[in-house]
Amino acid sequence: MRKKYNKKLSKSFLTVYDIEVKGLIKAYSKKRVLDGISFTVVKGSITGFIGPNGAGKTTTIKILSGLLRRDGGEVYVLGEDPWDNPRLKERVSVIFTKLPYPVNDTVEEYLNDLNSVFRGDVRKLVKDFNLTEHLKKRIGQLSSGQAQKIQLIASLLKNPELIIADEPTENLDPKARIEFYDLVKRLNKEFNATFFISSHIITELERVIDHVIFISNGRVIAEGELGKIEAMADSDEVVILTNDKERALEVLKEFNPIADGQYIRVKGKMRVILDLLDDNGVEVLSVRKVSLEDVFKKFTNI
Amino acid sequence: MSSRSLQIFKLLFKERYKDPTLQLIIPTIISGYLFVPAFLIRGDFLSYALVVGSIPLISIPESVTFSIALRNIIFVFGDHMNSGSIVSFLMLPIKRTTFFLFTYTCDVLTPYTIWIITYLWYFYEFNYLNSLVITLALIFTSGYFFSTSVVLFYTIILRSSGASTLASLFTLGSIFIVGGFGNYELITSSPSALSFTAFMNPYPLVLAYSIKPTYFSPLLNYVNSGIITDFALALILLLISFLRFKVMEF
Repeated sequence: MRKKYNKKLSKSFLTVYDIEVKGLIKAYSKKRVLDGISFTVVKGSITGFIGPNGAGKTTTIKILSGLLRRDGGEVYVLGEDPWDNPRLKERVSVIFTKLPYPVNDTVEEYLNDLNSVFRGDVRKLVKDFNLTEHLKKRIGQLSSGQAQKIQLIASLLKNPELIIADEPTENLDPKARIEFYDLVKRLNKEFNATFFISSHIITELERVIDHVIFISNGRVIAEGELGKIEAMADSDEVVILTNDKERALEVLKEFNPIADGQYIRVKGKMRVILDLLDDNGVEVLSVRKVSLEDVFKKFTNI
Repeated sequence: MSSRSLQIFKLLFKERYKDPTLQLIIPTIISGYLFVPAFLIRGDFLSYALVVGSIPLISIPESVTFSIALRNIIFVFGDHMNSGSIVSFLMLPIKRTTFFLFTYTCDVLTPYTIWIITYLWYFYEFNYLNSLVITLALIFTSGYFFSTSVVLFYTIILRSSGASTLASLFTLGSIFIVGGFGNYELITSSPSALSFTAFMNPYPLVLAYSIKPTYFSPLLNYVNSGIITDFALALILLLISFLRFKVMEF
């Protein structure tokens, strides 16, 4: 069965998808944390794997990394089964929330040790990432942002085709988060590496991803290109910030506006709404279509 | 072995034997043999003194060798499993089987190799490399592999440094002490039972032999069966540990 499936994959999917998961099941103590999930990750994409805490993101990533076994279904990473597969380890890098390395080693030792196996250009990467001055520091002394940069450098030593990241910005401050995602965009462009990034912080992922997979309670509830997913949400909701909230609510009465903090959520054609506010002398400070968070809420019925 | 595998082996070896670990271990083991001539000088008690001097805990080289293995298994390999840092190694391009083999080589085989080379070299230089010396080497060898397999088994099953240290010391201590008293009693009361119990602690048997070689020479057969049992148990526990590690999730 698997052979047949693999053969089919090699013709139709392998050139398009870096990850293909079909009917994946994983249970801990008979409790299913992944309940037959299926999704694909397009080659060269930055795919966001979005879901609340406990949705099954880390379990999925650990299965994709070969750290956990699956209880059912099929998983292919670059066309191969990830469990105990050294060939994949040469082509795929995994970034974890915390750098899983002996804390007493210095950054230099860690990177040189890894580089003795993968033989990348460690000096250039350290220079590019502005980490030269931290080389003598012990890993345990690094800030979370620096540790994540070290993981990124480590992941690039092997020139990977696919980088899987499990909540990589969980422990980072806002500045470090922005830096991290800027790096992801740059690396995706320069190295053409596929990124599969899990997170429960949707707003920050929205800036970088072009594909999205929503997971909730161990089930994939939506997946696809970001634009298509937003369209699937079928939401013509507009979020507006004005200089006079009360007046704007009055003007937009016929659209049944909802006050959301300083913002107003209103359904209707954006052009019509903006013209109406303009005609009534209400200044629009910002306007945006529905956010990814809103789409996620819609899919999960939160 | 591919150059990439060799580099990974070097990584594992370097982690366990960072400078100056080997620079300390090897001279300590060699200098520990100085106690052997201190015992051997007692004229008529040559064999007896040799056996006493080779009992673990009394013998510094054997104690150091076992301590290093214990540290490697529980506090390096075990600690990686408990803290999750083993993930770094499992992300390297290496099969779990090879990783386990490399780890076992670094953790268990390396200290043993240092010990056996220095042991044989010392007695060769001392011009005392006889069958008793070889028997004592075999007793320690089988006991060492049995003990390290017990430690490895607990480390992998329990996944806690503290619990595996306590469980290993309790198990091995009990076997060694109960075996010592029990075998001492059985030598005089029911020697045939020694076939089953000799593996627990063969030293009373060799001690008896060293005192009266002609009278107690049949005991050496039981010593041999004890050595074989220790090797067999070591192999079984090692196999279980390996099979468990192969499917372990992190």
